[in-house]
Amino acid sequence: MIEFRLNGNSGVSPYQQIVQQVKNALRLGRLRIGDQLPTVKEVVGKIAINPNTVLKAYRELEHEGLIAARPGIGTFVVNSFDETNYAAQRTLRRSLEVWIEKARRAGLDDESIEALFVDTFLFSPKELVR
Amino acid sequence: MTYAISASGLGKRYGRKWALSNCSLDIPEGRVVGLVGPNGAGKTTLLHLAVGLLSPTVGSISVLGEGPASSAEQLGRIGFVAQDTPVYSGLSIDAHLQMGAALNSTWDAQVAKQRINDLGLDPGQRAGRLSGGQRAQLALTLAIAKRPALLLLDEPVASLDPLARREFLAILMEVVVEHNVSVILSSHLVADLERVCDYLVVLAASRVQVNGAVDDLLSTHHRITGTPKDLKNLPDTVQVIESSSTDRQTTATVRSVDPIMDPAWSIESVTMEDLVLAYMGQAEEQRRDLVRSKGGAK
Amino acid sequence: MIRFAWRQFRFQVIVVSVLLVAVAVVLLVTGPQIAHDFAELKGCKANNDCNFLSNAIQNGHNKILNFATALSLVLPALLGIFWGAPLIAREIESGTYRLAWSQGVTRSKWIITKLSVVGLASMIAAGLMSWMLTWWASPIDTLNANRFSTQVYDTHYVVPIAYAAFAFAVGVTAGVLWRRTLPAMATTLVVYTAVRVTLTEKLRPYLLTPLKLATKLSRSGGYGFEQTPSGRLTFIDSPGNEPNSLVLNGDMVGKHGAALTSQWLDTHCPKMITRGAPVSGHHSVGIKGIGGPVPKAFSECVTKIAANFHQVLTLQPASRFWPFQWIEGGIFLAVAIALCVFSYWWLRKRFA
Repeated sequence: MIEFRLNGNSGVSPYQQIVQQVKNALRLGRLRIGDQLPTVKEVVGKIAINPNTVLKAYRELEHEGLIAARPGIGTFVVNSFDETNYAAQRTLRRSLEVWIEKARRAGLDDESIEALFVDTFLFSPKELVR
Repeated sequence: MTYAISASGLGKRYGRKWALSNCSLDIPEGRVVGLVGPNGAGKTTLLHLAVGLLSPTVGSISVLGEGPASSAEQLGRIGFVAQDTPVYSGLSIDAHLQMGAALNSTWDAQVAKQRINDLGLDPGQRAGRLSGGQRAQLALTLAIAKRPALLLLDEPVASLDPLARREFLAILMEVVVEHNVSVILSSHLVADLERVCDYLVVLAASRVQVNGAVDDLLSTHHRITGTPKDLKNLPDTVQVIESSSTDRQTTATVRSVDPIMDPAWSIESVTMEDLVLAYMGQAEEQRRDLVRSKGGAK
Repeated sequence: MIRFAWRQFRFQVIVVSVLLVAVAVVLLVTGPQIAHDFAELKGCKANNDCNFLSNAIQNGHNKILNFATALSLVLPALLGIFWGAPLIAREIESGTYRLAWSQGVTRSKWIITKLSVVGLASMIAAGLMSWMLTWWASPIDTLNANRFSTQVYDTHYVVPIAYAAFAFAVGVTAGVLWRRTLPAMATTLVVYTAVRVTLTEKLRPYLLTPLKLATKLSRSGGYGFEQTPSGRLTFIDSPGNEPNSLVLNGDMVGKHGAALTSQWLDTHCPKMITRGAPVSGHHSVGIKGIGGPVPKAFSECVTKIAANFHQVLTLQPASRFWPFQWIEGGIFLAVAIALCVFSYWWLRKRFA
């Protein structure tokens, strides 16, 4: 089952962080259609946050059609993003791992690696150049 | 609608010093309320007034629609954990539970036993031998097993290490989900409360500085940066809580229901910590002004 | 609430119970012997046997008698200090009042229950001690015939129960005022002792207006003469042995109410006066073989006094013993209740 983590300093509100983490999990295949999400009680028991925050996040995900609550049973994933990306994601992850290792060997520290990636990513074209 | 706590002009004086003055607020039910302020600001006094451990010098307070400690039933609807979580150190955990059962008509022995089990505590253990975190959990159990409608907690995590603190708050949130209680907890550490509270009351200099739902407060307060002269040009609808200026730059925390249209200012959102610090700073400023003016008048 | 009040109080009860049981065992073992001797005494004929028996009863168990009497005397104070003073002071001092007063019992019920449970327990403990001692010592007391003495009056029958109630109430009040256990305990000891001693010495003799009883010069008392440095003679008579009474004072009164003055002595007992060395010492008259040989001048003077004067005792007669127990007991009990009411009021005023 997915476990949430809250970053107090990120500037992103807690409920947004939960929504993002569910969406990311869906994108990365860690959550698939039919998987059960943890109950509100389970979430707040692991990370001490207000239950309303969790409820709000789940409501938004439900509104976006990604999850649905089955009364008496639990909350489940009913929809996801394009599944065919999973295979491509595995290959891309491997390439990224190789790239990171190269960057480390070149002597870059963690922050430089992250800065290099974010910078390149932000300035990259937003759409595929055909 | 019943408020969890409703106070009007509430004040408490010890000798010549007012521990709490002119306190008026209506705290709704169904929230996790953070009562924040520096030490000595009146948080404990307010909570003790709510539980009926003190009686007001002026003003009035009602809890769940009734006077504090007005009857055994009313006391049964409120669970209270005092500062430093007092327990009878010579009595075992079990004896404490028996006390709870004997003294509270709404006691749920099953809930109590389950919680002690889940916490991994030995019921025969003397309460004096428990660690700080375990004592806090025992006190919380005693408060919860009454099946109260409202939980009042006075600095429950102040003397706990960070791990115990996190565990306590996590368990508290589970309790909120499971038993649907309203919670009011006080702390002088904002970081503890930021994650768990959805309603905030800031007490400083023995007064309520600000109170409201966290979402509302965060959306109506902003951190603005501009030049010092722009400060004077702010419209009246923008209330400056606190500001600090250098020659060229002014930063201020302001409250404004309407958005600030002036392009001279760059606007950011505030965190709860920023907000609390701003109001506490304002209270400290006011206090200093008062002392200075008194000194000047002499 | 009652059950929890007991639970909190368990250790103190056990300590005192163990003590009382130990005393009970000792008294139960030795008591029947005393009772048996006393029964025989009633039926004894020969003087020697009677003397032997009465001596055995009165002096045979002195260690136990002294210990039990002392315990009964001291027990109320101990109960006040160890049961009364910490009752509320400890809850306030340790902060547990914040736990206790947020439970589902009203403040009234909490205070009243604790006061009642422990207060009544104090009275019962003192009552048990008093009852055991009274039963065990009853033959001794009958022979000693001195029921108004502290050894008997303060430690037997009814008043110890009232003393315990009073000591308890003093303890509770001290605890409520000090809000700390140790000062409360010390205060209880001081106040209780001071009040008890004052009441015994100053007030008890006058609980009812004393009676005056005219008697002949006591035959079994001690007489003496004292000469002041200036040569004046005074007559000293220890007030007679009125059994089971509280004698306050004894005056020599002559015809027409005249007092026995030094002048009268100078006139009628000239041989008693010696120049230089004062005549002093007490000689008992009437009991053979005690004291030294009685000078003739001495016994002549005493005869003259007896012929012209009689003794008037100011006393509380034996018949007033029980009224006094009830009156004094009532006073202490009333004060105890008043103190408890005050403590209740003060506690509610100080907190809520």
